[in-house]
Amino acid sequence: MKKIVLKFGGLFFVSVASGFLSYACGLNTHQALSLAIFVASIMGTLFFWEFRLSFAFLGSGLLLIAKAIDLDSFLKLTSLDVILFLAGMMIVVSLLKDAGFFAWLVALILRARNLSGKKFTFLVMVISGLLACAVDEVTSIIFMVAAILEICDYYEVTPTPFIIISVLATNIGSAATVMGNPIGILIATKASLSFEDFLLTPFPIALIALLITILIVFRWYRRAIAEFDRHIEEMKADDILLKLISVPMDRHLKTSLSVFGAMMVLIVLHRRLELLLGLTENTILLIAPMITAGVIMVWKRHKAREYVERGIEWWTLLFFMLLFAQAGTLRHTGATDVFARLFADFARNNSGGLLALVLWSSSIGSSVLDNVIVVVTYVPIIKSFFALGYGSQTFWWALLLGGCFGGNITLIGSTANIVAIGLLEKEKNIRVRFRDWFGIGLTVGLVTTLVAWALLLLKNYCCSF
Amino acid sequence: MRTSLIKFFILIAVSILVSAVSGRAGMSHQQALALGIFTASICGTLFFWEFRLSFAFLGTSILILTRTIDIPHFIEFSSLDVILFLVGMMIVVGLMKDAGFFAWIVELILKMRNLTARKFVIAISLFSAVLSATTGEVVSIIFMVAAILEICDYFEVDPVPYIIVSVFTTNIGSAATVLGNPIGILIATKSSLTAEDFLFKALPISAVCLTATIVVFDFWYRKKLNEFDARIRELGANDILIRLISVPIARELKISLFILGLTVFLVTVSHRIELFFHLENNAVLLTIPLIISAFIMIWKWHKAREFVEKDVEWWSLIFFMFLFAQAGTLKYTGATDVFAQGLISLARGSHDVLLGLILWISSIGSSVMDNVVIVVAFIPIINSFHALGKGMEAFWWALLFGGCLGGNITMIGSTANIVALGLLEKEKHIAIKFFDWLKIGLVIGLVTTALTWAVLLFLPVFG
Repeated sequence: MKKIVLKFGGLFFVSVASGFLSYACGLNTHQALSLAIFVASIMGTLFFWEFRLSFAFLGSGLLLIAKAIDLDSFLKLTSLDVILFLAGMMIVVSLLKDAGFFAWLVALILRARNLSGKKFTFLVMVISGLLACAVDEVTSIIFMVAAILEICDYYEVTPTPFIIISVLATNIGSAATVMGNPIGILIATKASLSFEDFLLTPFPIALIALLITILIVFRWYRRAIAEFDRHIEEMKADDILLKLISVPMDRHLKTSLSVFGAMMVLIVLHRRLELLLGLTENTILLIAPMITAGVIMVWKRHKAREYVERGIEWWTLLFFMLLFAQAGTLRHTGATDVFARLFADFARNNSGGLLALVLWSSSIGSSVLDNVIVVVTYVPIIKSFFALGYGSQTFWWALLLGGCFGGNITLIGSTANIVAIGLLEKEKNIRVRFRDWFGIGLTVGLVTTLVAWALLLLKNYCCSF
Repeated sequence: MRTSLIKFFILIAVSILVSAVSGRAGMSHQQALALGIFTASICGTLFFWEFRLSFAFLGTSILILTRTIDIPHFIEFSSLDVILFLVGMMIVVGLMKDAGFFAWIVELILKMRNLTARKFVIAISLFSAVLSATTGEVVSIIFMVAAILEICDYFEVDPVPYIIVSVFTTNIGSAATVLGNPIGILIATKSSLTAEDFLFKALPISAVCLTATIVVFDFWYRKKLNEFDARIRELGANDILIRLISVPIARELKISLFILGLTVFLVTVSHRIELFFHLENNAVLLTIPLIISAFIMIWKWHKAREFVEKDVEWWSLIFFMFLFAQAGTLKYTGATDVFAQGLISLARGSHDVLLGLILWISSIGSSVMDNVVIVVAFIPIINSFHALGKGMEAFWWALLFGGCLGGNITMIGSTANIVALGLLEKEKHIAIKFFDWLKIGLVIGLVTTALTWAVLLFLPVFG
């Protein structure tokens, strides 16, 4: 109880201090107020994770009552389009879960022929990465953890290293497409980037980062992999397991997959279709999940309500909505322009320096904060960069890659980490200690961020010719 | 399967017909399309209640794909402020449920001294009306039904009349405040009416209708009430029942009661606060439930997630959101202006005739479909009446009361009716016949709507 009061006091102090300090530094009242409330919201999520929605509600109420922003603008800044995209995706994912898609995928790994330690590690990482970019990181990690636990149980090896590598690959893969991570669609809508743009830049970068991570992991966990090999030899082939788990591809699953496939086609071709139909940018991208969800709810009418009420994470979406609006308020009041100016001065107006600043601060920021929060803070700042004339598409990619790759650094760096560790503790009663994670997490986090940096610079360099 | 196919074809045919006819009648391509899709959505909710969300999703997608509207406007029309208000209120009501507020109300009714049949009717009517005006009709009816069933069980009388009167008064009470019914807050945000206006104008009309309902009901069911009195004399009041249940008020309930009271109070004076701090209209009204529910979620932090996920009716809210936006599209394309013009020429420009039209159309419309659908369709039309200048306020009241009072006419007229009948069937295996309801429902619906009409026409405050 005393600790809570202390934390609360700290939060209150820091936010009031940041408000006054920025006021003293020349921000006007509304800017200072919106900044103080935003700081309080962010600190609230750091210190009081369970109270985050309350903080978001209170902060939004205060912003409105203090006239830092008017109601209409506030509502516009909630990015309801992003929220509805995520809600639609969650309905689609509920269908896939329901149809047994993930169980089928797990069985696919288990049935791999001539399994060896390295092959298993490779498979886990590639599938985690691909699944994360096709569905979303949280769903993907839940099923990957289930699969890994099952296999490790069968071969009687410690699952911890394999869980960790799966998480690493999931976070890296989630940067590759619009669907992988909430920050993907957020950046896509704010920067008007299309799925094709994602395919051209973050996708190859994530792929290279993933390959490098696989090499690092082979080296780092060589003992665990060698032990896995030993156990495989002892058990001989995995024929028994093979027979035990063979999930057939039934009609229901096939239909579900084709529905999902149809949505993917819409998403992949969205830019072309928009041009063809003369629609504004990202219209089709944003409504593709909605169309699919509409069709799914006609098809599965008995489960429609369940998909909407249970499948959609309303708690999180509500929090995102208000967080988006609060960060938007910072831009609305002009506070982020001041920051952008500050950043630009700090980087001596050098766009390479700014790029490094955005990439590394978002990466390190995401290692302790939810990456959505980091990205939401940065979006208005980067928009202000554009207003100041430093803008470049590369900043958006730096933000995306930093936000996703930084999540690997600590064990609380992203939702996928927290979910995986929670599952491991619940199912196997194994606690992952901070130092189990930190060595490999930091290495992979730093190396992948470096890779992203190098490739983004290379891309800029090539494009300048 | 076959009937649903037929229904589906009717739906498609009606909506295509509507848009073709409106295209002929001088509407633009986009207006006709928006109208066709809105019609399909409304028919969808009528014929395929379970599919309503799918219809909303798909209809919206078509509107966006055909460039009838773009995403930013669509989002603007989704009235997210109303949705957030409802989310906040649902969290508050979730707390009240959790704290045992409703069980306590039930107990208050059960413990009434010197019970007579008429006293019982007045008590349940008042409780139903007040509860629905403060916490929303659906939650209120659930607990009222529970209380009524318990008392009728004890005295071994037929619960049906009392359930019916409770539903009637729930619907009437829900018109009295902005909290009672989603259409209340919707109308408050779209017009310039404040919660205070509701207090001084909607509440009195509601009270008049409530009194009329009790009088009509007492006459209609006089035999049943006399039977009830005879049973009470036989069993010697409810002394045993009183002794059986005496739960003291817990501290938690007291705090919750205080929170509910504070919410109602703040909502009522919200306009004063807005004026005092020079805030825009509705800024305080809409943020109060958010701030209150934030404190609730801090206080009950281990239940916060449950309040948000279980007590908030996301399924309905997301449907409302899309429905609001589709109706907004009608306004955006200008289709509603055409309608408004049509209504005005039908009324020959007379304000009073127009008022009657709005009141009766919304009342009769609400008797067969969800009142939110009706109100949402009417709001942009009424906004288009601005050209008439005077007497806008009366139109809004007509819409509000038509929407709430019409719900009494048939047994499917409002959510409260459906919930109450479902509970009655589940608990007691009593199914009320459509025409049994219609007889009394029609009388009550017509009498109360006519009373409202008279008040709106003849009392100058409502001009």
